[in-house]
Amino acid sequence: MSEKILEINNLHVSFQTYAGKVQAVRGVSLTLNKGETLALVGESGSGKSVTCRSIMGLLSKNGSIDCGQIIFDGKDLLSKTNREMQNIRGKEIAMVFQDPMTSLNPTMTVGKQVAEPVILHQKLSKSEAMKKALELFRLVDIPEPEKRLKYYPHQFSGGQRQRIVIAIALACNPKILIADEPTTALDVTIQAEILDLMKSIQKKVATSIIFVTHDLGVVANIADRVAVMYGGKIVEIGTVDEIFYNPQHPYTWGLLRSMPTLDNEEDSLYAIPGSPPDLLDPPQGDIFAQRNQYALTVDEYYEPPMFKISQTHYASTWLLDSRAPEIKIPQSIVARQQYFKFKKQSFKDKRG
Amino acid sequence: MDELIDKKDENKNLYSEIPSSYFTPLDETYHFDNERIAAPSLSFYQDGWRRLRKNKAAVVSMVILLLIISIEIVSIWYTPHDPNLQNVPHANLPPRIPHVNINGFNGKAKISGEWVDKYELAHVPHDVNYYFGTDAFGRDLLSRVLAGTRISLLIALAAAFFDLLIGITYGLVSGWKGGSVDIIMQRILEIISGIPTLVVVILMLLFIRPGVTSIIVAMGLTGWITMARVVRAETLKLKDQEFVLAARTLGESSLNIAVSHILPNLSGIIIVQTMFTIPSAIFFEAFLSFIGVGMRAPNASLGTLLNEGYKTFRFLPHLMWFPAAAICIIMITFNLLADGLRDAFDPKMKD
Amino acid sequence: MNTNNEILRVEKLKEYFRSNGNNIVKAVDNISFNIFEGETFGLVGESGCGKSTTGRTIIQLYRPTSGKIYFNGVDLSTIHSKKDWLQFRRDVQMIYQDPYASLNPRKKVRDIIAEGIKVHGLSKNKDDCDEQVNELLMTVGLNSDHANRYPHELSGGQRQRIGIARALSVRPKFIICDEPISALDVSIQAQIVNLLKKLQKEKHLTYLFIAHDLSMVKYISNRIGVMYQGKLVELGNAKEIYQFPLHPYTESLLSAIPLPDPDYERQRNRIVFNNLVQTETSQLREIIPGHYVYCDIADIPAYQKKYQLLLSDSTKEG
Repeated sequence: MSEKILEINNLHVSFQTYAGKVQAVRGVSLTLNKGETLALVGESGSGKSVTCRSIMGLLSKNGSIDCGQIIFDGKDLLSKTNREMQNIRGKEIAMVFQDPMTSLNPTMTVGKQVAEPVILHQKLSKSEAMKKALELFRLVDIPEPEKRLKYYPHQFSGGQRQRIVIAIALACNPKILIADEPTTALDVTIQAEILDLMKSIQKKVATSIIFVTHDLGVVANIADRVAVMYGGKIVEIGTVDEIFYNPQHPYTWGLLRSMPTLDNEEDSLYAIPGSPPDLLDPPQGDIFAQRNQYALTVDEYYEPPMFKISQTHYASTWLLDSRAPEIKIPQSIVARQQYFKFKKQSFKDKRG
Repeated sequence: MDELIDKKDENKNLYSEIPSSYFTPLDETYHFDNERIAAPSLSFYQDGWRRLRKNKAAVVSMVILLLIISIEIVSIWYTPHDPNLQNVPHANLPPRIPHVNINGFNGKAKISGEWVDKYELAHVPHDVNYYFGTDAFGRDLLSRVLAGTRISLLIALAAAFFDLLIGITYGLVSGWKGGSVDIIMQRILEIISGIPTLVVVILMLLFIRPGVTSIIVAMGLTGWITMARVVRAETLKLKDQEFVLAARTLGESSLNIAVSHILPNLSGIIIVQTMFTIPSAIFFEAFLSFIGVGMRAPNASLGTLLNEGYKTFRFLPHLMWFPAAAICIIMITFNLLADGLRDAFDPKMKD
Repeated sequence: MNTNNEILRVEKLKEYFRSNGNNIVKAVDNISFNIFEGETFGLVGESGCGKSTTGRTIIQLYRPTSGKIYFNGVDLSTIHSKKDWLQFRRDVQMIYQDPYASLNPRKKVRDIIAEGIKVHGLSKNKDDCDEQVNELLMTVGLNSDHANRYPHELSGGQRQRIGIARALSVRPKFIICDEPISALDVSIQAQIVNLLKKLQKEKHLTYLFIAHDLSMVKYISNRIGVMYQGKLVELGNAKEIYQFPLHPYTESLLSAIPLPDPDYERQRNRIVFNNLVQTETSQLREIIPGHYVYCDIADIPAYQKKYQLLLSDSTKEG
């Protein structure tokens, strides 16, 4: 059993806007184990970015944490002061953002920017910090690192800038790296390079990664475990194989079916009807019910709890209740589930 | 992971109250129109007003300005005394406000270190009060300040009008046309902006007598430059926006796009810029009148009042304090309001 | 789909921009292709490859540096009369990428959609215009309530539908879709793509679909052109390009796409592409009927052999 490094319990976050209070995160609980990559998948408004910012203590002024705990290193991060959090940010928990253009200071050389956290947190001298910066540039595969330490951000391409941002994040060997859609703004070939880079770094440095994205392909590539978020809650969580080959929540089915695959021969793509939910006034029952063709009457009144499918796999849907009727699962999902059974069986055969 | 789940047994107890009949497919009508929008409709100005209201300094400034403008409108028909009527026996009186017994506001002034009731010395009847005191010719300062502020505001509004008319058109044409037209127009702009406004005013004295007309013409000729620059910059930004491209591909004529697409999106910037123009116009008029090339005596304008007041500042401080306070209040409130409007209209500061 | 009727022909199109003094950016560098009536032609490539510039040049937002564009047989550079120009503006429309910037924030939805109708005089009076607007809203899956709203009150998917309604308002024949789904959520992308397909059937439209999401392009397109640094490096039937990619860049691009399949991802090997091989005589040449690759005459046999190998591999598996 791996060691737990971060634990979020029943997190509730809301924002005060002119139209009222928006419930951005409504009871998120998850754990992150040492050395693993946990993917947070969801669309806009699902609460994945807000969850990450809550971990880092970077919520905007009109945001408030209404309830919950974030346990890191034995202590609740939510009870720490901003000063105490400054000691953790960049040093123990680091973050990589989406847009490499705006993540770097255009008026500072990149060498300085990479050295900054090292000087700040590890109290090294400037020359020692620059040596560390050089090491980091080599770690993230920037060619001609000695020369390029003195360059400015605008002299690099988008992909290289993202590497530099990753280097800055890793400068102090953080225990957790939170990457908030780091490849969304990049071309597909560059994205592939960055994903390979992150995987190789993780092998070397054993950082735990929380990877936020809306792209299921990226998730399949990089994640060990996946948490699917919708409407401020986690609707399904499990290992990457469980989520892709044995999905149980209708929203996960919808996401998988709405992605065209390279060998998709169907004439019409499945589209989840409707739009992402309005979190100003969440309904009493299951927030996904409005767009869920498999919704039951109970979804209108009660929010489903997390049902256990395996030691590592949970989903929050009334379809898993013992009283729920049999439903016709979509064909492509059935195919996935059959493949899953086949895999498990051959694995058992190999062991047994 | 044990905290995550409700164990099956707990499940049974927690949710056993749910009747089994609930576990049937949901009625189709529940999938109501998901495209419905809940929040109320807010136009650009409504949203701006809502955001402005949050800025206390701006709201206070707005209230003060509305008060001042109301008083000025009333002063067209009524002032406590005639602003231009001289009354030499009542010259150089300090302020006297009835029921206020603070030295300096009760008709008493310090002469050689002692408080002396100058109203008694001048045999002023008890029911005659000069709230701001009088000047060297016995004219009521309050009435003169009211009249002067009125003129200053009128001049400022006229300047703002030319600003809008010339500045917006120039900036819009220059930015929208682009290319060589833009380059030529910008060069002309730079030449005009290089000439100090003061020089323009003095040159005009050759043709026009100093007064309201000369000031308005001078400010009209030069004051539009900043507005033109700001409008041009914003137009250049808007020109490449996709909604403008869409209008072009729909076949909309160039003129129509400029007027119905670009101009409305400039309104925020235009309003803010105008709000900043007014106080600088007021100040400029005061400056011109102060140095003698603007309004001339005996007309009251804030500038002429300052001119008269500073000469006797050491002995009759009230003659300078009051017009100075008037100018300061007007300029500060306009600036605070303009600041507030700029924040309220700024799309990046949306909450 | 009428394969005999060519609705668009692009010949040796060049679009060069001057930047920073003497640097010339060759955004579109001598490309030629055609589009047939009723089909969807996908144009894919990564950022900076020139696909968006191509689209905008075809719709005459930019004047081409050189080359010819023929729409329905008519050379666009010969259109001078206002009447012909307006007709072109009706026939060819565009759907833009950014649902937030493509709608005027100060106009109500009704006015945004009605603009085209008014410019071309397609309605008899105000009531007729309103009716047309409501009809268009229904066609794209919205309702008349939305007509009185401002763009910022709508979601990204709803805004993109308004953009589609606006394009349809002038009854075009040919629509250029410039990355219409890149800025949308995954579940909404499928909605918009389905809508576009439905409209194509109902209204006999031809699409030029520009995107960088290869899976989506393959799903919606009949034929595809792959662009790299301003050049078309491969062109052919959509399924063919994906099953039998010939040009090294196409191979590299396809090998970089992540799929929602962990086992596939674990064994996927990325093919790295470094530099475009080109000479003075390189151009798009036909390897197999309908399948073109950017190369020299001398390279054709090698590509044909490659194609045969790929074909036999797939028949072995399938």
